[in-house]
Amino acid sequence: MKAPFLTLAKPRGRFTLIYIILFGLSLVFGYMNTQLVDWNDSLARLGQEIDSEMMALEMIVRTEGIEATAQHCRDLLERNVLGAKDFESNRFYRIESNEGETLFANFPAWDVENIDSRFDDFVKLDDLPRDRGGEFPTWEYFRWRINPDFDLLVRNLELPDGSLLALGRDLNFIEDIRIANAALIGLIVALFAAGGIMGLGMIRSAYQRVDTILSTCHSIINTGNLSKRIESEGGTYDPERLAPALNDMLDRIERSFMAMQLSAANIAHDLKTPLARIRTKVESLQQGQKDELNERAKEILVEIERMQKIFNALIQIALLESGKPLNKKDSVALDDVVSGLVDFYISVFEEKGLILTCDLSPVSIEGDRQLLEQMLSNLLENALKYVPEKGKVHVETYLDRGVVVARVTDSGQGIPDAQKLRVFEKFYRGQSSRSSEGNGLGLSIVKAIADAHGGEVSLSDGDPGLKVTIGFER
Amino acid sequence: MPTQLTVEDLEIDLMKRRVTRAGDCIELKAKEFALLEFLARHKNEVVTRTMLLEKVWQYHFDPQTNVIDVHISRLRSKIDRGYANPLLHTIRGVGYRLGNA
Repeated sequence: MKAPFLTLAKPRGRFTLIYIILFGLSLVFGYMNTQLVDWNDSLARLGQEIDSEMMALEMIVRTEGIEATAQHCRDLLERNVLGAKDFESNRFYRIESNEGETLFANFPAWDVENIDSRFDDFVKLDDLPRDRGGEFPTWEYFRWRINPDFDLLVRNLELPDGSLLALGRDLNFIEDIRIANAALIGLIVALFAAGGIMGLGMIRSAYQRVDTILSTCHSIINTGNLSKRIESEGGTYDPERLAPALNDMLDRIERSFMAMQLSAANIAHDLKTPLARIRTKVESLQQGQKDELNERAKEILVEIERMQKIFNALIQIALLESGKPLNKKDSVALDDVVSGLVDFYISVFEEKGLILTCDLSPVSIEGDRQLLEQMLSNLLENALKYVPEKGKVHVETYLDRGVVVARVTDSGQGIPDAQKLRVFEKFYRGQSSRSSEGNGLGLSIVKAIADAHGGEVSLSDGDPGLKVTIGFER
Repeated sequence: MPTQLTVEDLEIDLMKRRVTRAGDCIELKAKEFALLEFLARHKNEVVTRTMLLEKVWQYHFDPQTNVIDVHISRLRSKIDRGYANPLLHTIRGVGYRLGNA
């Protein structure tokens, strides 16, 4: 059963809910705030405009008289002396003489007493922000909605001689701005909503990726099947990048695991033969004669010893591969090591009809002498095992451009290229070596010892035969 | 510290590094002498291949070939060949013993 993507039982569900509530609240608050601030600011601005013009007109009335002022206003509108674009629709004047005669007006007169104050068709705006000096008479602010297209903010000034100055500004102008603002808010809401939906989509897809990754992990945990991989679309955003990294990790684990399984299988296989022999021998012991007992016991010991050798070799390789520093680190003369080994092995080479020669330049490296002896003896023993009668084996030590080299060249069959890398694997036995004795660990040990000394083992063809070169950078 | 080791009619002069059997002088190489000396110091004891490898050659690896046997057989051919009574014995599956006691 597939659980719904968003439930309050999951953190992501709760997170989404909290996000939506907070986002909604902030949106409402932001909208209200914008509206209020905008309306009040605009009113105040218009009020200030009216204020300053009113001051100017009052000055004209005082110096030139009311009629000149009316003329001035008429001139102002007719000539558009201020050059304002919205000039005609935005400026309104009403000038009456002290005898009640309308000297100039471009909006109708009103009767404050007869207007029903319950309607905001004519509202007294007491709360307008104002900044006035004491010398000015009382200003009155009105909003007068004459008709839907004719909505004015008006100030009245009754002059001491009884004449009247009324100045107005069109509030539809503010309404236009408010509509534009509302549209802007709408756009912002739409953008935020779109962003939210997209974000939710991304979060959802991210969580779905995490879910896929989780389900693969659980599947591996439950079944132990390391071959499963996370489906990946190869994207670049984070959960997507996680998948290949996890897959690479799984590859690596699987490889190690398979190598381990293979090693285990090989160990089991190699121990099977000595165990089977021991079993046969013990079985024959049950019905055997007494003097036969000793003989069988010895044979059993040989098999046990063989198994112990395999174990010892495996333990030694494991220790060397563990990367722990060498126990001993002395200056070891490789030429001296080789000459001792040649002396040690020469008779057994002779017995087998092989010619062992050497060409030794004095070279030395830092390391563990016993391990280096073991490494080189393994190479000599390999030659001893695989080089046919009358063959030649040549050992050299020399310095090549700062690299200390030990090399064993033989005249045997060599190793096909395809097997050259595999021979270093534990328990690997090439076709030609299957019949011979040995546990398939010799070259693994050689490589492990060389690695532990910072050396590199390489195999090449020896025209004919095999050339094993171990180089140590100094 | 004895300067001479004797195993029946085999005499080893450690100072002069000379070996005689029943009065006959036997020529040995340096390692053959060292091998014989070690066996003689443990006369009538069973000596394992590993002991020989470690004490005579100071090697601590495990040869997969019969290299020790070859060294023993070469030594045997020098000290036992032509004498009625062999001194150097192979103890199968274990090692070697010098002496008949």
